Amino acid sequence: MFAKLALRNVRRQIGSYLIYFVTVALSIALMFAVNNLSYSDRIRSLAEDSSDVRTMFAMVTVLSCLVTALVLSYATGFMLKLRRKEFGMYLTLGMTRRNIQTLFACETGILSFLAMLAGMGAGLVIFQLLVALFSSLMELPFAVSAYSVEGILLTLTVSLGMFLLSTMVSLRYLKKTSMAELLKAEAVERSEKHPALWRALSIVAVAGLTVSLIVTYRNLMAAFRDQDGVVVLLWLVVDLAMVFLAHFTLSRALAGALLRREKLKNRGANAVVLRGLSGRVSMNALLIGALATILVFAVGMSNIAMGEKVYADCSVAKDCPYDVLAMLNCAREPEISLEEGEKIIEKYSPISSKMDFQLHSAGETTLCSSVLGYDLMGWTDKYLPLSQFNALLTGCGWEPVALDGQYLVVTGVQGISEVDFSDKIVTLNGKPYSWAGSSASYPEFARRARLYFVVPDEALLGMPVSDVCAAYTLENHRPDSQAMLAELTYLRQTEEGPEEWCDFAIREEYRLWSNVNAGTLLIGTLYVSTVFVCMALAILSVKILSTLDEERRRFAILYRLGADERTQKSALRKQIGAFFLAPFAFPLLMTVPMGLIFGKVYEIWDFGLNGWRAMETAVLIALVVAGAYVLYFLITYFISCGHVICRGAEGGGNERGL
Amino acid sequence: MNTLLEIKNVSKFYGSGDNVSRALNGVSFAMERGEFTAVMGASGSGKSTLLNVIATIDRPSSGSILLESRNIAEMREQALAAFRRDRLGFIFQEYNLLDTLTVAENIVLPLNLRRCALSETKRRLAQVAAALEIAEQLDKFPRQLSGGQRQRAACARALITEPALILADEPTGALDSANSRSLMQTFTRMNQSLASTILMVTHDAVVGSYADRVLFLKDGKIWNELYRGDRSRQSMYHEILNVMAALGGEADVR
Repeated sequence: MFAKLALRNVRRQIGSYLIYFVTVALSIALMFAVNNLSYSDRIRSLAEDSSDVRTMFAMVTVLSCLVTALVLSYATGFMLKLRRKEFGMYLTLGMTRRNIQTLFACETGILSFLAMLAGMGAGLVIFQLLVALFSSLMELPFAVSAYSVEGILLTLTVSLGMFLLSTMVSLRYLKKTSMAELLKAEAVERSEKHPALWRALSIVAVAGLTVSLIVTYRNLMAAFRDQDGVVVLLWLVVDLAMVFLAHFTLSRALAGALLRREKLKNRGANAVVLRGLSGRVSMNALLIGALATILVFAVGMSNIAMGEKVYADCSVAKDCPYDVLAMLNCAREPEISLEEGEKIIEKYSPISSKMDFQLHSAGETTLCSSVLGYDLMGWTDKYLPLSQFNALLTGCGWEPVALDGQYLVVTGVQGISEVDFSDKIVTLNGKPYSWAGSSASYPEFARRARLYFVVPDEALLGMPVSDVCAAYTLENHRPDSQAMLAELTYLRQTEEGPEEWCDFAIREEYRLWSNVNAGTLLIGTLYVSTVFVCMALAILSVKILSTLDEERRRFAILYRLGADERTQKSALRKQIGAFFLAPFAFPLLMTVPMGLIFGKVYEIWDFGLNGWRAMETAVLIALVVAGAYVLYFLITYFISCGHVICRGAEGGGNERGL
Repeated sequence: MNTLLEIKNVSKFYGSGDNVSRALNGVSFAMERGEFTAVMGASGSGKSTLLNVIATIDRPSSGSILLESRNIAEMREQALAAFRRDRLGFIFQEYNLLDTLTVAENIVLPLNLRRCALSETKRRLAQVAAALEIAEQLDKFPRQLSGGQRQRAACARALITEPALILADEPTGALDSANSRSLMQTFTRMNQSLASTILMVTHDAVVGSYADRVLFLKDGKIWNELYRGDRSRQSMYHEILNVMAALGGEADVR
C-alpha cells in the first residue's frame, strides 16, 4: 500500500522537482565518470605515480559529495516541510508516525533509485567524454576505455551514503515534530525587520569584502614573486567569508531598499515583483550567501586550474628547452656516458642536431656565498661560457646576450634572482668582472645547477670543467619517453642507500608529467565546479517551483486586475531572474578582476604571454557559468509560465487559481 | 440613453456532444449607470458564470455583452486585459488581496498597472482610503487586518480606478453578520455618494436586500426580478425570501 501511495506521490511531484533530480543525477554521473577515470588503466599508464592522481580525484569527489549531500539534505528537508500539512493530515486520518516515515522513505527511495539509475547511465557516456578530454589535454589519440569495477562500486557506495544521510535527516524531523506543528501552516516572514541595521551591516560587509580583495591581490602578487603562499591562502579564506557576509546582509537589505524607491515601486507590477523578491531573498539570505560563496570558489578554482594548464604548457619550454638535455658531473664516473646515452636516445629517434657545452668550476664560492644556505647545498661557483650560452639561447628562439667585463647570474629560482650581487666582483684570469644582472626567466639548460654564472669565454681559459653537458634536438619530438627514461636511468649509491638516477632530461617526459598534473587539476576542478554550479541552480529552481501554487493565486489576482499576459510574464521574469542572479551576480562580475590578476601573474611568470589570454580564460569560464544560469533560468521560467500565467479563456485558460 | 450594460441573449455551454451542460441559457437584461443590482439563485443556477462572462474572464458561447456600447464578447485578449484594468472593478469573497503587499500597495496596484502618475496615484489613494475609512491601515499587511477591514481594502482597490462597473462575487461570504452589514453599508455609500454601478452575486437575502434590483437565476435563465422602488430594506428582504421560497432555493437567512 505504501509503495503504491509513494509511487503516486512521486508522480505527482516529479514535475516541480524534475530539474532538481536531473541535477542530482548529473552529479552522480560526473562522480561515476571521475571515479572510473581515477581507476582507469589509461591514467595508470600515463601518471608516474597514479596514486597521486587518484588521491586528487578522491579529494574532489569527497568535496563534491559533501556539497551534494548537504544540498540533498537541505532540499529533501525543504520538500518535506512544504508537505508537512499533508503528513499532518495522514496522522489525523489514523496513520502512525512510523507509517509516514515508511511512506517518505519509500518516496525518497524511489527518487534516489531513479536518480542513481539515470546518473550511472549518463556516467557511462560522460566517462568516455572525460577520457577524450584527458587524452586531448595529453595531446594523445583517444581510445575507448574500459570501466573499472572499483570506480562503479565507489560511486554506488558514495551515492547510497549521500541518499541515506539526507533521508535520515528528514526522517528525524518527521519523528520529532508534533502533529500540531505539522498541521500548522508555515510561518512566512513578509515584513522587513530592522531594515536600517541590515542596510548598515551590508555597507560594512561590502566595504570589508573590497578591502579583503585588495589585500589578497597585493599578497598574491607578493607570493608569486617570493613563492610564499600561506598568507594568500589565509586571505582567500577571509575573502570567501566576506563574500558570504556581503551576500547575506545584502539579501536582507537590497530588495527592501528598492521598495523605498516609490517611482520604481509604483510602475506596473513592480510592487508585486519587489515585494515577492524582498520576501524570498530575505528568507533565503543564508542560502544565497552560501551559494555565492561556493560559486566564487568554483569560478576561482576554474580560473586557477586553467592558469595551471597555461603554466604547464609554457613551463615545459622553459624547464626543458631541448628534446633531450644531458648534464654529467665530472666528479664521478657516470654509469651511462654521453656516448652510451646517445646510443639509447637514437633507439627511439634519430638525433638531428647536438650542441655540446660545459660548466666550469674552480671550487670557489666567491659569488654563490651571497645566497643564503649555499653551504648546506654544497654549491660552488659554476660558470658557463657566453658563446655557448648564446648558442643555446638562439637555438631555442631567444635573443643572444652581450656582456662586457661583466657576469650574468642565471638561476631557476625566483628568490635567487632577487639577491643583490652588486658588491660582488669576481676576478677570473686576472680580470675583474662585475655584476650585469640576474634572471630566473631563461630556459633551464643545466637543470641540476640551480645557479650558474655566464661570463665571457676568455675568463674561463684554464678553468676545469665540472659538468659535461649536451642539448639534443630529435627528428621525432614525441618519442616513447617513458621507455627511453627507463633505459637512461640507473641505480647509484648514496649515503641514504641506492637511488634511481638519470643524467638526461627528456622534454616529452616533462610534458607528460606536467600535463597529467595540470589535466588532473583541471578535470577535478571542472568536476567540482560543475557540481557546485548545477547544485546552486537546482536549489534556486526548487525554491521557485515549490511556490508555484502560491504564485498562481497571486498572478490570477493580477490578471483580474487587468494585467495582460505580457505584464504578467515580465513580472515573473524579473522575479525569477533577480532571485537567480542574487548569488550569481558577484561570481560572474569577479571574472573581470580575476582575469586582470591572472594577467599580472602571467607577466610575473615571464613566459612572454599576453595578459589578455588570462582575461579570455576568465571570460570563457564566466560565459560557461552564465550559460548554465540562462539554461536553468529559462527552464524554471517556462515551467513557471505554464503554471502561473493567466491567459483567460482564449489562451487556454489558467484563471482559476483563485 | 443612460444604459451602461446590456446583456443580450447570452448563453454559455460547457462540454461537447451528449455531454453539454448549459450554464447560461439566453440571459438578457440591462443595467443603468449608478444602479446597484444583485444576482441571486441556487448553487449551479449560473450566477458565477454570468459574473465571469461580464468580467471578461470567461467568454459566452453566444449572445453579446455591451458595456458602454462596446461588445466585450468580441474583444481580443490584449484589449480585454486593458478593458478589465480600466473599466471594471472586482470584489471577491476571499478579498483576493496580495498577501505580500501592504494595503496601500494593494489598493494602488490597478493604477500602477495602467502607469498612472505617482502624484495622481497618491491623490486617489488618499481620497478612497478616507471614503472607506481605512487610512489608518494603509501601511499594514492584509494578514494584520480583520475580515471587514480586508474587504474594505478590496473595495478601495475596486474603486480607485473609478471603474464603469464594479463586480462583486459573494463579497460577504467570508464575513460575520456585523461585518457583512458594515460592508453592505459601504456598498450603499459607494453607490449613492460615489455613483458607482454595482453588480453583485450573493446567496444571502439580507445582503441582496441592500440592492436596488435583484435578478433571480434558475437553470441558467432569469426566472424573476425584483425592484426595490420605494420599499424599505426590510420589505425588500421579505420579498426576496418569498421569491427564493417559490424558487425552491437556498437563501441564507440571518
